[in-house]
Amino acid sequence: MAYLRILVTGILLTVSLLSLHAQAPAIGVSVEDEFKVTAIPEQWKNESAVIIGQRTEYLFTRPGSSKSTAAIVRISEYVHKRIRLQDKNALEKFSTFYYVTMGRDGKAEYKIVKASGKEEAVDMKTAIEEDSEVPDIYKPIFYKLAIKSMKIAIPNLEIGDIIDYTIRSTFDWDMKSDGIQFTPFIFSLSNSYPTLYQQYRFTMANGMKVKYRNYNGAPTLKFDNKASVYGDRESYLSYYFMDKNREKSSEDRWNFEFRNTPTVKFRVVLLADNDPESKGLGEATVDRAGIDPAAMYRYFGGAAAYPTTTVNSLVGYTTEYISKKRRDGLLKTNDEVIKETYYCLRKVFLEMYYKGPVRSELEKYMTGKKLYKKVLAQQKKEEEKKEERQDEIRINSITFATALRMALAAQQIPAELQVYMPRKLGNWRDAIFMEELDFVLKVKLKGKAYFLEAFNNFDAFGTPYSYLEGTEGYSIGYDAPDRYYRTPIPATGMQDNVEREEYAIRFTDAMDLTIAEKTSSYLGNDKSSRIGPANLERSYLSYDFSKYFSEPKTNSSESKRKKDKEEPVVAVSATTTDALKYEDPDKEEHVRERKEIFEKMIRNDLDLEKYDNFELIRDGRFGDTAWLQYRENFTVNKLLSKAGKNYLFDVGKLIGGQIKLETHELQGRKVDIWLPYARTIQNTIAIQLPAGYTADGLQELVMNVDNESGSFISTAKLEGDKILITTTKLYKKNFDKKEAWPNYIAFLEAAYKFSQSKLVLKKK
Amino acid sequence: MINPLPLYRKLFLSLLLFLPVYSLYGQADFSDKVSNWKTQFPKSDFIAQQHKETITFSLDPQATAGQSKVKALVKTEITLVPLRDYMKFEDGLFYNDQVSIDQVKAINSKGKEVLLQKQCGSYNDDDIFHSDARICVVKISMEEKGKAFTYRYEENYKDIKFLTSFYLSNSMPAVEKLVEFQIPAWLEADLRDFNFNGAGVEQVTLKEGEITKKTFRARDVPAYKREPGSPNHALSYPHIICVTKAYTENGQRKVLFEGVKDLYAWYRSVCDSIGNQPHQIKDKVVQLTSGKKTDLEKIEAIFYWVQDNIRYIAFEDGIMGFKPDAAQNVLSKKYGDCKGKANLMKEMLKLAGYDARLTWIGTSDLPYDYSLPSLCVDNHMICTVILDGKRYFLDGTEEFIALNDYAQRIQGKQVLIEDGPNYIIDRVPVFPAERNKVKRITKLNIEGTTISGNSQVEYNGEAKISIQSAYASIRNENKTDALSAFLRKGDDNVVISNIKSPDFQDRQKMLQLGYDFSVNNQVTAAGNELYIVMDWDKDFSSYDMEADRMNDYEFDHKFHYTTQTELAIPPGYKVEYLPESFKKTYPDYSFEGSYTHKGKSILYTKTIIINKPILRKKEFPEWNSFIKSINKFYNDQVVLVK
Repeated sequence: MAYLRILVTGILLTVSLLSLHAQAPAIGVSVEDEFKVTAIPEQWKNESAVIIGQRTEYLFTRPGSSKSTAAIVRISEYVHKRIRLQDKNALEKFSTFYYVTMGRDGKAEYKIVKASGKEEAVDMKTAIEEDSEVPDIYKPIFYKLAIKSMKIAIPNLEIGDIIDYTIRSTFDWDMKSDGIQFTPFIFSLSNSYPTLYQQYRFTMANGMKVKYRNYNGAPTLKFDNKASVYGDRESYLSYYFMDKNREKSSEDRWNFEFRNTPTVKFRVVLLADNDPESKGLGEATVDRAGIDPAAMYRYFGGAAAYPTTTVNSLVGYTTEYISKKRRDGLLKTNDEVIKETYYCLRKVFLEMYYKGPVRSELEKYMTGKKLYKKVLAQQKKEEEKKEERQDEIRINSITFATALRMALAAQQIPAELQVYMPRKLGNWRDAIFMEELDFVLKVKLKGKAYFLEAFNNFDAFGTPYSYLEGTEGYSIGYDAPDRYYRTPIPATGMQDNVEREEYAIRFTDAMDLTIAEKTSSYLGNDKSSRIGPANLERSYLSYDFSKYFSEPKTNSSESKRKKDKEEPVVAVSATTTDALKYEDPDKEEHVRERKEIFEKMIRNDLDLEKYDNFELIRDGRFGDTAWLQYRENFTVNKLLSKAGKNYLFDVGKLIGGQIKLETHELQGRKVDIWLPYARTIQNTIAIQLPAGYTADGLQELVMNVDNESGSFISTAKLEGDKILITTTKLYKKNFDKKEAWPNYIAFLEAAYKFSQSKLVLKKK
Repeated sequence: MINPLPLYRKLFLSLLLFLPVYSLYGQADFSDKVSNWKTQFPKSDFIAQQHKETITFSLDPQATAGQSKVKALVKTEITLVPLRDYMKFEDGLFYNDQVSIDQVKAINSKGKEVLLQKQCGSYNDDDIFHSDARICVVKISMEEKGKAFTYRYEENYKDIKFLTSFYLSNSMPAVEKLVEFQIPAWLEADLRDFNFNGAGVEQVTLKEGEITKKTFRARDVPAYKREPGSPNHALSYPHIICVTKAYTENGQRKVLFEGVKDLYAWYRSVCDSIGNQPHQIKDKVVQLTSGKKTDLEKIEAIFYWVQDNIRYIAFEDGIMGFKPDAAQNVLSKKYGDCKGKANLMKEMLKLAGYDARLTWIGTSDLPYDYSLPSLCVDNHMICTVILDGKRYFLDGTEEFIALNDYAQRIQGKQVLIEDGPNYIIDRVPVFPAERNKVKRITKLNIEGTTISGNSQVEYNGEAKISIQSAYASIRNENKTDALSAFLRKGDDNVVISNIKSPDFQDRQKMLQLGYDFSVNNQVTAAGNELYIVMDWDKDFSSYDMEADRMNDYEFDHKFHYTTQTELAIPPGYKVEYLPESFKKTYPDYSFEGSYTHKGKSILYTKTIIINKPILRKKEFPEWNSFIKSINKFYNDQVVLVK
């Protein structure tokens, strides 16, 4: 009996596999004529290499309906590339070929077409297994960890050869663990070499659809009826897009690749079993629609309603503190309550982190963005490195949004979740995947909406982030179900992002060194790269801990009973005395390290003789205009040069390195201008005129270039025995059309010219 | 039959078991010392209160023919003290086919063995395509600062000849570093020290029965530090090379590496089985040499073809680290490492009728010569061709180098040349700085406050080769911009035009570049005066060594710069002031600069010679004073008055 069952099952399986094999089309069977080209167009003859053809093809099938395979989607990948190597750089770059093959039929084939036309196959048996990951360009799109990577040194490779390789892989996607939406992809069709021909193709079993969108002149997706296979039980529909004669990618200044170059986004989605579209035998569909706001609401709505033990601890403490301050009449307006709630939450978070017993565990649960969202591969690569700055720890976005919303709700103040499309990816209408979107918490204060990113140690309330600037999105309200509405995040203005540097300069008697006292002040976006190192000695923690200290509740039986019913919390400080202060165990090292960091920053621009002192004046963490301000004292070499009995002073160097536009930039711009944010850069330089000298050349320092995109204005005058110089450089916008580029040339060139200016100190 | 352990052995074993436990209850809490150590080693998160390497030797009775009879075991034990709370200690343990890593353990401050993370895999070196080098990354979660862990591991050397260097410095500082060799009476080992001068290394020799214990002790040893321009650590850091000369077994003395003849014999045995098939490369040799008239032309044709057409791809897997790939393989694959290239050149030259030999050499990265019979003495292979009694050394891994010219990295280095059962020791010639001469002749004119002019620059030696290599490696479409950026020396105020490109492929002739330029910010006008910078390159002005630099400084090569710049005095102006001439000469470097008024022009000349590739730390004060005085000269400028 048992034998019979095995036999029957075996026969059934064979039939099922046979029927599948009979229907599913094969991939990589034909080679287009475009791949046979050997002549390179004249305009690309001087390029390092030219991609003659590249074809990437995917086939999505359902291998079976047995228990073990029901949840499997089999993804077959086929990559074919043909590249002509035209110089030594390309020869070296392609000297080693890496590949990853997955599945039983996974394999790579490689041949070289010599200049004579002779083809030489490379023996892939000489490939060596590689422990480390293969370079990105050789990675398949659907990629599993812990698979073998291979590498092979390509023999007999010479300049002028055409390399031609194919890679086949099969990958079983388990919907139970990986979901029904396959990895989404966003990429530019501009490659690092010019491309004569490229094609991407997806062939899908019914019950699947591909979401696709083309941008900035990228080709549209086409249905290929000829390549599609129709069957009684299974159909396979084939879609492709094709691109020809694409120039290589360029590296323009202030450029968002996905907004300026031909870009495509795509993802294959398996329709849920209860989706009516999945029942039909027929067609897969191409979905060109953007994000459905209702789906967005379902996806993101929980992000500010996700209570955890950590959230309970943050909210519990904060509510107790804020409520007491309100009872004591110390917080009168809602505006005060909102800000103090934000800062108190931050204090509890920092206390948990810096005083918590097991930091690494807390780190796992409280920080980063791992809890809720998967970040797109492409996005991840380019994501601002928010968590890698000096001594900076950032709260997890979900924990933050939930905790702040709940803590404000406890004070009867509503807050909303703002879901937005990051600037570099496009406008709201450009979004087609949830993974492209991100969120912040939104609160209204003094009639103005504030968009609050998950805080780090240093953010002041409302600290701007450049990726939020002028983005489009939706607000989700929590006072009623299904409440969401379209609303943008406004961009900051040039007055919001300020860099102000004031120099007091004098010279040594020997006129060989320049003695400088520099006071630097930063506001808004301009603060972000300096605030961490400036606060490295952590004295702000003691300030936070004592300011937002709340007496623990008495341990009465009533409160104990009450506490038993509350959500579990994380205990932090053991005693009141401990809770009020923070003793940095590495304070001395941190102070020294801070000095070294700022010394290095100065050294980047000037030839330092000695860096004497760093003094933090304002930590930049509080207040509507939360200036970060510090003072430095140092001595500089080589700013003074001798000319007979006179001296020349390189005063221009004190305004910092200025952009020098390349020749091709001076000739024009082909793409729109995406600046990170509008900003103001001000410099004041007061120079003590040495006794016995007069100043000459002041008039050369006076400049005035002002247009609607930006400006550079400088003044210079003599006041008693002091020379006073001021400069103001404005970037007035965070975006301009390419036609406005001449405006940028005008003020950037003026600023550069100033930076090269010298002041003459003439012996009387 | 089971042999019960005799009582004395049981006792001995229990003592052994007890000993490590006992030692663990030595000091494990150094909290009181943390503050001092932080001051002493400010950049370190960990220090080794003690770092001890113990080297023992054994004879393997089971060793079969071809296997090494003598084995070595290196036990490392580190008393590891974290200087911050709850740090994660990370270490990389290297091994390969000849060395295994065993018994990796960590014991916490309470004497308890703790779990450590160990991840092992192949070690990838950018310069080597594939090798047997492996690495185990060990991670240990530490406790509070000052609480010491004992971290230990063993390295088992299957073959004694691979046991070579022991450094007194490591990746973390050590309060006390000990290297103890326990040399049994049956083994003759020679311990050679390098860079011990001024390093304060104590040496103690103790005889304990049949074992001679030689201990090297250093205190307060700072960690290695990588800095730009650091020479290879073998050149500066104190270390010991263990030369195992011979062993005696059953009354018979057997030689290992007693002298260079033994080292050569082993190399020869490895190279005996390369399997060259000369007939497979003959056509290429004929093709390359046909039409060449002289011997030197023929040798050059082969040497240059290998340089240009055989890509450098290195396989150093096991014996392949020492044995060249066969000539026909290298030729057909068009890639190889130094050995493969040397062997291909040798076979090609032999077919062309020349006396060519494989040659071993230690590059300038190594401070050794062949008086040290050890595998660490060389790291490179070249080919020597002997023509009319003269030896030419051919390094196939160099690019654009001419015959009879030698790269800095092999100049002055001893070579070991094959000679059948014998060998020849010779030395690669040393060239003075003038080999790398860069001569610049410039003419300047002033219009308003803009300088325009043209330059003719000759590059020789390393200066020439580095330009040729860089130019060849840059993408075609970027070559012009890159050349222009090179000539501007990164100065955005200089605009280069009309570059007269030379033949970048030519090896024998100097490389000559001519170009026009204009410069915007080197003339300042004030009233009726013009202040003029005639030398804005200011060569070497930023070469002062930082006060806290840990390492010696190695230049890319020796330098010889000469500059002649002639400025036409603009009509209506006369010379108001010329900077004073300046000359400073030290035995290894010198500077000479002057301004001269000659009729309607001002002639500026400058010569800089650096005739020494490595500056030692002790020489830094003198060097810095040299650079300071150069800067004083550079910082003065010409004044013209209307």
